[in-house]
Amino acid sequence: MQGLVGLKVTFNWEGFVPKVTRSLRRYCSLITAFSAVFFTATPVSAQDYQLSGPNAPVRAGYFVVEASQSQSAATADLQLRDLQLQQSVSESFDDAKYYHFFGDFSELTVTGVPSGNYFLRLVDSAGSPRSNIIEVRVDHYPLWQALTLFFIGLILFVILLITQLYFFIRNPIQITNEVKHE
Amino acid sequence: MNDAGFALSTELGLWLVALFGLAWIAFGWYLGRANKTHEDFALAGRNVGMALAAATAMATWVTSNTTLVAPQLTYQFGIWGMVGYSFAALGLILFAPLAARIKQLMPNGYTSGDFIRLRYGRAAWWAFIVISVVYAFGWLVSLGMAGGILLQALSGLDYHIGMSAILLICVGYTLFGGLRAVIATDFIQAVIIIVGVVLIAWFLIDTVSLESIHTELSGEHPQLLDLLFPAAVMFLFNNIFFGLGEIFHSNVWWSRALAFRGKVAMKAFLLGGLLWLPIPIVTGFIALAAPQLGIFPPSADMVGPMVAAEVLGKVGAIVVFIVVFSALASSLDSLLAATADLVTRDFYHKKFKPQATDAQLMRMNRYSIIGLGVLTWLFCLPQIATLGALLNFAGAFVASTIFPVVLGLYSRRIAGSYAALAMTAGTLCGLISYFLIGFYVAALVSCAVSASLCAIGLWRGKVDFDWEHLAEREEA
Repeated sequence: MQGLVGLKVTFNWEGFVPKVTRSLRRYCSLITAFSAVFFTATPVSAQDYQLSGPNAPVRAGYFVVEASQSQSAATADLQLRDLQLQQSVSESFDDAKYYHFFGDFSELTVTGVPSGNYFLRLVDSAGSPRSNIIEVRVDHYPLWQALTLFFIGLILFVILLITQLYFFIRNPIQITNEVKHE
Repeated sequence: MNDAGFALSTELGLWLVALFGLAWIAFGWYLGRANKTHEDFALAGRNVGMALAAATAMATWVTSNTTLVAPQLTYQFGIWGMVGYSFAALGLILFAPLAARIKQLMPNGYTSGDFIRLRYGRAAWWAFIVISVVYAFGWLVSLGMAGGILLQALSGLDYHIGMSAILLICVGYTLFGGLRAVIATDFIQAVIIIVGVVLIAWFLIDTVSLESIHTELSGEHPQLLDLLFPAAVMFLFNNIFFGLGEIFHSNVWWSRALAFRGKVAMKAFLLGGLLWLPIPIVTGFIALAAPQLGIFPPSADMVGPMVAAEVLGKVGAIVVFIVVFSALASSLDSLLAATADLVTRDFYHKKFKPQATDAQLMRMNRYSIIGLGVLTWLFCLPQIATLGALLNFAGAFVASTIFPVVLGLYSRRIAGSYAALAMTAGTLCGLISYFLIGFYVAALVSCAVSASLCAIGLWRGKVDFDWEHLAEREEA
């Protein structure tokens, strides 16, 4: 459902400062990319796959990474299932973790990730990079906010239990087994 | 595994759908022969006994939520996702005394809409109907989507074909059999679900040890085992209130309370809740094994079937298919029947044609089932969200009904205007929090706002409602 909202304005919890997300960022990225093509003369090396991930910081420790085959790919027959997704906290990919795409799917959900900045790219069996590098920032909600909501929920639940118990005791059930039909 | 990495071939997936579809539709037709009146069709003659009642309560609550979303939330939120999901059993358990009260106050009632209309009046009824319709479609669409996702995950069958097939089958047998067929198929489906889930968990623990799962998670995915995982801590009570809101307001459960015989309702819901409690623990646990098996699904809601199929191979994939298909069907048919009752009773009969004959009501009920099926299919065509996100969007709506329903059933003092305000403001605040914070707080915020307004309504209430108004009689 969130995907239906075009230009979404969200608030960050620390101070409720409004920030414009997704669409505006995409427009800015497009303009930046456009400028890069026209105003710089640096040659861009061809990649087999283009990786994309979440633009905004991830607040719940899981995110989806999508790989799409570049049109300029040198080896069009290189299948995604032959590659591995490499993830590391350093841009030099020391101490990396590896994930495999399932079946013919081109998306992969990474989960259970602690707060921090993560770099991801696709590599082949020889360890050669086969995609661009993306950076994903994981920033969990502060614990005090989570615990505040937890205790609000607990209090509300206890109130509901007491209410139901109170009325249940005061109103004994009187039902006959006969069905009343008109 | 075939070449594309799927546990079943596409042809086998299609054959399984066709075989099960034909079996359920034939069974629905067989049971539907006993329906002579609209009351038979909509409420199974108000004469459902204990065994069928407990089984239908449990089986209806075992749905795509339990078989696909419980693993999804465990994959996303770890231990809390699994345990928190099982707390949705509280919905059935706490509804048990309400079901007895409903049966006592409304011996001739048909729908939850009837109750809101008679107890709170027109404004609250409109707020309630909007909530019910949004929820019913959210759930129907999520079930249709789950069917497509299931077949795609297991056999690579195109999402649209799987989704269309499951909708067609459920519409088919609900159309022929009404609530009688729904409850009877639920009984068989409940047995299949319990046996299948136990089998899958048994094989999983046998294949992948608990120790290796724990080592993998604590090393590579530590948040999943963290009891102070912030988003998961937020999610816990949100899920409880979502479950309570779903059951307390939905005509799926009210129609069952009214259909169960005499004093059966309370015991049946209690037993159904207790039977349901361990199921999300088992289905959720399946997702915790995914990283150990090197399975990282394209969408978190596909993790359950993928892990089961990976561990159990082709036979396991068939077991998973049968279990999830049964779970989907048992909920989809119930929701189709209950929402069609709501359309027939609350709109057609009460608003447009009060003099409608029994035959006309029955015909309208069947048209409603077909119409709902077609609409659901249209909404399912674009796969707009993950199942969890879609369901929790509805949480913002349904959690606002918890306190108005409970207080409306027991207290004479709360007025309709406060109930209407509580449901409307609760829903709006829940939606705002859904978009500003996340799906894991929407129901909690909605319920908190609604409860506060109901408390004010009770405190300032001067109404002395006469319970006799609820025992509405039909025109002869």
